[in-house]
Amino acid sequence: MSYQLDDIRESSERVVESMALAPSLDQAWQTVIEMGWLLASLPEEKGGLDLGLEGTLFIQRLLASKLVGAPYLAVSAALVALRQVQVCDDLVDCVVAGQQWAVAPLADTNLSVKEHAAGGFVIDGDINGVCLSGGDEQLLCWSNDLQHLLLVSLNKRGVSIASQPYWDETRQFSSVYFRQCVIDKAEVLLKGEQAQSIIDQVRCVVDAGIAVDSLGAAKTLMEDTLAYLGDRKQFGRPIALFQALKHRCADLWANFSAAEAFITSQGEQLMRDSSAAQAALFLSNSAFVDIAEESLQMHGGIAMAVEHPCHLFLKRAQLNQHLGRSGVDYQRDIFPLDKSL
Amino acid sequence: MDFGWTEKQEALRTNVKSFLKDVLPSNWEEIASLSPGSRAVTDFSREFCPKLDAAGLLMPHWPVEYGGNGDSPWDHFIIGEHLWEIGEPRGPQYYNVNWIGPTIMKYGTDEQKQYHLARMKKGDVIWCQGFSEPSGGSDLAAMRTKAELQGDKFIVNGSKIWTSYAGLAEYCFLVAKTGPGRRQVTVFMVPMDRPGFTVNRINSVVGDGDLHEVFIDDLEIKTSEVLGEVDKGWDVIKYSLNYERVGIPRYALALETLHNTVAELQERNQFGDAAKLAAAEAFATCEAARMLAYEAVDERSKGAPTSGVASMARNSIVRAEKRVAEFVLDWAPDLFASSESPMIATHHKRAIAAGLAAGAAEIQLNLIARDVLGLGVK
Repeated sequence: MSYQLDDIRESSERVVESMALAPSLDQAWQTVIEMGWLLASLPEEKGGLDLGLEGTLFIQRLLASKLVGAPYLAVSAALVALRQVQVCDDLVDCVVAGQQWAVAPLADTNLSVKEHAAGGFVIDGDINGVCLSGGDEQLLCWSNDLQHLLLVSLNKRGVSIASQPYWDETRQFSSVYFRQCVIDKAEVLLKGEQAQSIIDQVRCVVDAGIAVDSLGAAKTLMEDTLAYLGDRKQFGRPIALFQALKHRCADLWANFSAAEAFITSQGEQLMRDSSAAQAALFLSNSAFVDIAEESLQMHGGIAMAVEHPCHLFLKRAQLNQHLGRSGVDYQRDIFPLDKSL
Repeated sequence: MDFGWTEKQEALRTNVKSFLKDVLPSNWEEIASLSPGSRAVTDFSREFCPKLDAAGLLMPHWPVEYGGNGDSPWDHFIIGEHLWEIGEPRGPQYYNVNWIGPTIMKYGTDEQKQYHLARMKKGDVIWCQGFSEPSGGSDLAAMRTKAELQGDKFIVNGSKIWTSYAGLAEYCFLVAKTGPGRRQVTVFMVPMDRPGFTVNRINSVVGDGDLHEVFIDDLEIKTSEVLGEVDKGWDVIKYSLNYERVGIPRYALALETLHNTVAELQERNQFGDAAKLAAAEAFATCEAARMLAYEAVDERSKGAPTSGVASMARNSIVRAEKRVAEFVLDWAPDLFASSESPMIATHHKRAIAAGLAAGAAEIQLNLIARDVLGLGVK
């Protein structure tokens, strides 16, 4: 049976709509598993819905609309690689069932991989932006030269993990440090061009996922801000009637819509075209940060109160700017040297 | 929505590029660096547009009965991208095919359609738009120019300002008040050589022919020159503005300018990391504006009701143009001033006008706030 996004759209939206803002990680993750959302991008022969990148991005955007912190994107990005490596078939089944934990990092990585004299490999480096469960888990990572794709168990010598208390409290990330860590040959899933091709895809999915995370959260905040402007009265009338605020909102929304139009237009290309994924990340993150900063300002003093959710959006927006390949080294490559028209 | 180009559309792009290569003179960039309303560009447009029509590229999106080919609005937009990218050799005649012609098709009488659309197809008629006034620019309904029906003709008095192309135009798409109601207006199509018009040029940063003031004294207009119904001109205006708003793919020249500036920086070995980052951001901004403009064209091609996308696209295009202009000024300011790169300066001048041409960008913000966000709607 072939599925379309519309087959899961309404039920998924209904479930997320019933969630509280920034729900607990455990609760949200349970929902992700029960709803089968991890199956969205898996091909039908692997028991998935075959909705491609569009399916993954739809769910991630939906979850972001409630500032969900569950590692849906980290696991989905890992699945992009695992589903293409035959030896991982059983693992894929376990991951989508929530029985095992395999994640891709959501931030830039720094990892060297060298062959070990006694067989296997030695890895050294730091991986940030890792969502962990605290149990027996595996990390999908890669060497700096993109020639080795690894799936490493974190429960071994030479690995240390530090939970990172980030400014954004809607998500939990850890840093994983490898120091002269010896891994088996079996933990190197792919090498050479094959590895690079899949690593590129995973990184594109992370970029695009963060981009739609920004869109999803930004839309919720914008709607909240618009409702507030309609309710809040000053000088005897709703502040929504003040042109200074109307223009700011219109400008923010046009910028948001342009980012959204760009992402929609790219479709599955976002998984194959690094520059497009980077452009999506830049456009969406910029739009989200602008909306978050301006929303806080337009809410006035109430937004400074911790009880008000405005700060949660701002912090998420600011952290998103540092996730994916968000460094300037990558953004520079957005500009194509060939012409677009 | 799928924005992939069809084979036919790809072939159209190739065809337009090839046509331009064959037809444009070697000094075209110098000509284009003048305003689209300048004598040189206007004269050139009268040679160029008939050739464009002969190649089936002037108005392919018009219905066959009006001299077009019944093609999709996408075809027209694709052609517009390539023409704007190289400086708009149609000169002021892009008005005709973009919005005046379609508005006449919607509201004109059979005689009006037969006469005016045929002249537009010949590619040698220039129109101007008599909308803005000293007392009513963005607030169009505040216009004071009045048309009073006396017997079988209207007598019009008032003035218009910021009127592009008026100095060389044969016709004016003129709007005037015909009653006391704020929106009780009527649209007329009037020859500019008729006694009663006085046109003065206003020097503009965009170049000669860009701006004018038009004084109207006891101008006589026949009832047969009314477009649509008397007093119902507001509907005609709204219809025409919807076409005008995303009529020009202005991002095309911005992208071309960005590419040319980067090429120059590379040749000079000055395209370092910081410049690359700035170029990347400008490029992404242009691409996002392009995609939003495509959404507006998509709506139009499907005959969908207007949703505010056109206003948002216009806003994004202005942002993109300005970002590219800033990139050039930051990284290669000499190109902006150099006579060796006339199109860079041309883009810069047009980018300055981007937020005002076809109506102030703030009006688009009002429309987005009201129609898309529901702000200030009681």
